[in-house]
Amino acid sequence: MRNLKINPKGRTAELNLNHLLYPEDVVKKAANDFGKVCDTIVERKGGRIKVKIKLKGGELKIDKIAYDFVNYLLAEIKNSEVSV
Amino acid sequence: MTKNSAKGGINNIEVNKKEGYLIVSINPKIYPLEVIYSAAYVFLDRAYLLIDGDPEEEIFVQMKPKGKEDLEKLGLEFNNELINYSVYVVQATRNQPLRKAIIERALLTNTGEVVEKRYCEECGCEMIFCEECGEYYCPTCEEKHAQEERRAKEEEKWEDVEEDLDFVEDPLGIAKPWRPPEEEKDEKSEDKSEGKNS
Repeated sequence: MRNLKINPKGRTAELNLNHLLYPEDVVKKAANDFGKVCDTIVERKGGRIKVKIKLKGGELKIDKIAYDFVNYLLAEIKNSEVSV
Repeated sequence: MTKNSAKGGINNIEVNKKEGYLIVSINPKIYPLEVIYSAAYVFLDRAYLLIDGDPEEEIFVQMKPKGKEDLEKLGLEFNNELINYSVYVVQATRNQPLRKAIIERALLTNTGEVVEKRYCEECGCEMIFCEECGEYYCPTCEEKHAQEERRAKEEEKWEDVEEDLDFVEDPLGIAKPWRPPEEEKDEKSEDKSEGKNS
């Protein structure tokens, strides 16, 4: 994916998001929820939100965690919507 | 990266077979962001999805299938899902006043009066609220009380009868217990002698 750079050797990943599509509070919540499996840094640069992910344990794969993080963000956005 | 316009005449899908993902370009003026999120949500179990672009100009949905799925087919299915949710949103917008009216009606109908539960102090069973008299009563004890009341009334009746019997007048002197005729004769003779002496 264009906005997701994975470094398997360093066990890190970098995600580049548009703040209009991914609200910052949702990104921070997701980062907090993934706190058990990885360390995350959320940075805001202009209209972009950068999320740096670094794995904690040795058994997990960084690409799997990074992709799951992306899907988790989308699920959180959808769940935060209130519709009648 | 290849555009699959040649295949089905749909040119909003870019396929990157090398890296195994595709990009669907969407005009947010046709499909609002709400519709795009909803369509993407449906694919969460089949693919990894990342949304990017400008919400005013063009939105790009990047999709990477979790398993071995045909990328182009996945993109086309996403397009169908966009239409599906657009129809849903249009219908929901049309029906909104009706739904609002139904909910308002439902909320107003229920005045919120809650009949609180009470339990009988004697037997512990749940008491019933009588809407006519506005009081709670115990169905078990109520029967017992009714029986007791009936019994008490009957007893009262018999007491009255006994009381009435005490005051029965006997002008003819017939309400006397039976005695043998010899005793009666003796009594009479005694009375006569007493009368003479006096």
